[in-house]
Amino acid sequence: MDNKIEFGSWEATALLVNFVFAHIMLIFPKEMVQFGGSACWIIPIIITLIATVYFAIILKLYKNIGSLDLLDISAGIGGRVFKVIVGLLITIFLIFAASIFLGAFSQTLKIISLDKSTLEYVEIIFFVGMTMAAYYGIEAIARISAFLVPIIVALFILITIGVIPEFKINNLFPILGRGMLSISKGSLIKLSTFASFLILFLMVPFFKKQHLKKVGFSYIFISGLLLLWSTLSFILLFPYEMAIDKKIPIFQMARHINFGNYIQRIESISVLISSICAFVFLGAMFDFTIYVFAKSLDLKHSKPIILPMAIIILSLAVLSKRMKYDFLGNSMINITWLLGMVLPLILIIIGAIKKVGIKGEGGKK
Amino acid sequence: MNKNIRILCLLLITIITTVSLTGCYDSNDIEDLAYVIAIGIDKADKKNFTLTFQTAVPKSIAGGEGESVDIKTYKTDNFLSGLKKASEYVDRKINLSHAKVLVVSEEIAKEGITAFLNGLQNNLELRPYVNIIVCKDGAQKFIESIQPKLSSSPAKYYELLFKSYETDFYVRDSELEDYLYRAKNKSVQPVAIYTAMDKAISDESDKKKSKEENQEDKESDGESKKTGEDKEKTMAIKGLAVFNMDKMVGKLNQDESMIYALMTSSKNKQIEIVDPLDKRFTVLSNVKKANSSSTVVTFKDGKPQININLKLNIDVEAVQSDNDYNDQEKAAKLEAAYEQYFNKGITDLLKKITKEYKSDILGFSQQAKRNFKTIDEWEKVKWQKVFPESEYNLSIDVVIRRQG
Repeated sequence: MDNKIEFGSWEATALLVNFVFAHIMLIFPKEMVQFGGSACWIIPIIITLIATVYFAIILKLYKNIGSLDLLDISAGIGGRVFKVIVGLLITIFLIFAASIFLGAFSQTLKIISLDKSTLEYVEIIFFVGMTMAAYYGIEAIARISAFLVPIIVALFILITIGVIPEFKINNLFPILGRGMLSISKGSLIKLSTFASFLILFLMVPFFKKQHLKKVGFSYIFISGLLLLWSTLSFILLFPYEMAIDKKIPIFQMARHINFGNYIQRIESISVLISSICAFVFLGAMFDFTIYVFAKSLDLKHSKPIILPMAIIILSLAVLSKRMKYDFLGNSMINITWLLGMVLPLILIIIGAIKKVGIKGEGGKK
Repeated sequence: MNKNIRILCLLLITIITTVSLTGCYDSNDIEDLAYVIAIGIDKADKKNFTLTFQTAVPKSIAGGEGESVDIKTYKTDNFLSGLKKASEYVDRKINLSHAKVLVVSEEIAKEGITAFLNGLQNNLELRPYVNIIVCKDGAQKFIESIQPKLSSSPAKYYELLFKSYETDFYVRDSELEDYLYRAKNKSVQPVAIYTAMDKAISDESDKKKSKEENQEDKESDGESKKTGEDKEKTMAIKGLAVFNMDKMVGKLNQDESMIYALMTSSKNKQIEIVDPLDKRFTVLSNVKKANSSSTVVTFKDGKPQININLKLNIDVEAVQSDNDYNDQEKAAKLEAAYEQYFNKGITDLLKKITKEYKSDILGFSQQAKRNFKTIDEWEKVKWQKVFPESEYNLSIDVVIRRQG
């Protein structure tokens, strides 16, 4: 596949931050309360620290890898067959993630705004957006996210600022909440929030290796702050006994904003944030699915596979909702998401040992 | 791409977008929905209860003519199906997005109201700020007594009603979301607004109207059908209803409610006391709890030790007598009088809620949690059981800042 995609470090960071932001919009603060109780705010700190250490290790290893992405590293490790295996594994992972988030975003939008429409209708709206994004390509969605993601993050921060007068410091006690064991378990399971590291290591050739450090640490830092602030503001607003029952946390927070007679009922902003976040998330996720699939099989043209692949994702989303199984909140599924961090680590360790980057770049020369 | 195909695609996108995304096909006009402003629940007989819906009449609100509210009352044996039936009785689909109050009779409140509220809490239309009101004389009577005259909008009427009590004893703790949290929680307990008929308030226009109606009745039937007595009475907020879990266990009068509001809120409260230098008159002041006030809860032999350090800033608003409280000596006497008033008031309130009602409405449990590291440790304490054994250490510091 011809690879001429290029964008800057800010575009890459915005794209990655949106992957984490999707978790915040859908479920993250509520899940934190389930694990940590009144101490839920500790979990985002722990997972951000783990992600920082993880990325620092990988950054060291990347010295021997150059500007290669995960598929190139796989090819360098085990040849074309291994690249196809890894590529298909990543494709399945991304299809799975895209279908679950397509279902979750559609369900959320249906509950909070399109209550008269059928779920399938809402899913089709996102399906169309996702498919169109794939036709425009990764570069287009990255450049769009560069200016849309800061806007939705700013709107989210405005919502949380709006509820500050209702914050109660007593909600943070007992200080260790459900105890260190539960906090540790939550930290391990929800480390999967950073599963989009997988996408980062697929993007390396687009923004070149010299920006990897900047993109990676910016992604971790901004995402970590957003995770911490969303959880902290959620628990400061709702006591843990109440927070645990609150579905769609940011929407529930927005319902509490009530400044006199002129700033009321601003939860419609959270609908806007959710929708933009969903379009950017699903568009990017689907773009990378197509990109990985086409690259791993060395397809010259990727456009013919867009529609079939999109239909597979839509069908899985419809099926997953019919199964009435909470894929997003399930612990086992969350542990499976960790593949997004474990797979790159394994590949990069082996690639660094084999010095695939130096060989590859040398070979090209 | 061929030019014709591009035009066709553009046309298709335009048609699909306008048909499917504009949402016109199922749009609701303001006249198509019944905006419920107040819901009332009364006990009818053993299994049944009466639901009362006060809905806004948008046409009258906009035009300023006719009644701005419509009231429908009916019996039902199940709250949820009764709520659904409401659409049939009001001729259109009910919408709760503008609901302001949920009124229950005292009888229902004593039996527990969580079952009713649970049915409502998942309704995303309903705002978290709906006020829970307990009415001594029944929910239906309360709703029927509400006749907005100064405002054409009934929703605005309720908003202004609660706003007018802000400087008295209105507290946010009686709102739906807070109420539900407290009612399901075994620590901090709920309160609701308590109302009853107030014979002291009379409405001249109602009296006149009632007399005219009586006259008409007499002329037509030769005898009066209505006494007009009920219409001359007006509902008034009498204090706060105290709950233990979801059952009403007692009430606080206006003075006790005022002290409750002062202790739990950081807003100005207007409190009137007898002038210490001239017992014939009173002094009205704005009292505000200072941010440096604190409550510390510790445990001694398993019993809560509650140390309340209340710092109150007082701005004298109005003095009926000729005494000048800018004079330091006189101001000291007023400070002492306020201190004595609050000492007695707070001690009585604490005794009432701790020993009589056994209900932690002041939320000391939220402070007590600080003594424990984990939720498991806190839950082992069983706050509801130990709260009645609480011992208080009260310290009040009153500062008169200025005379208005």
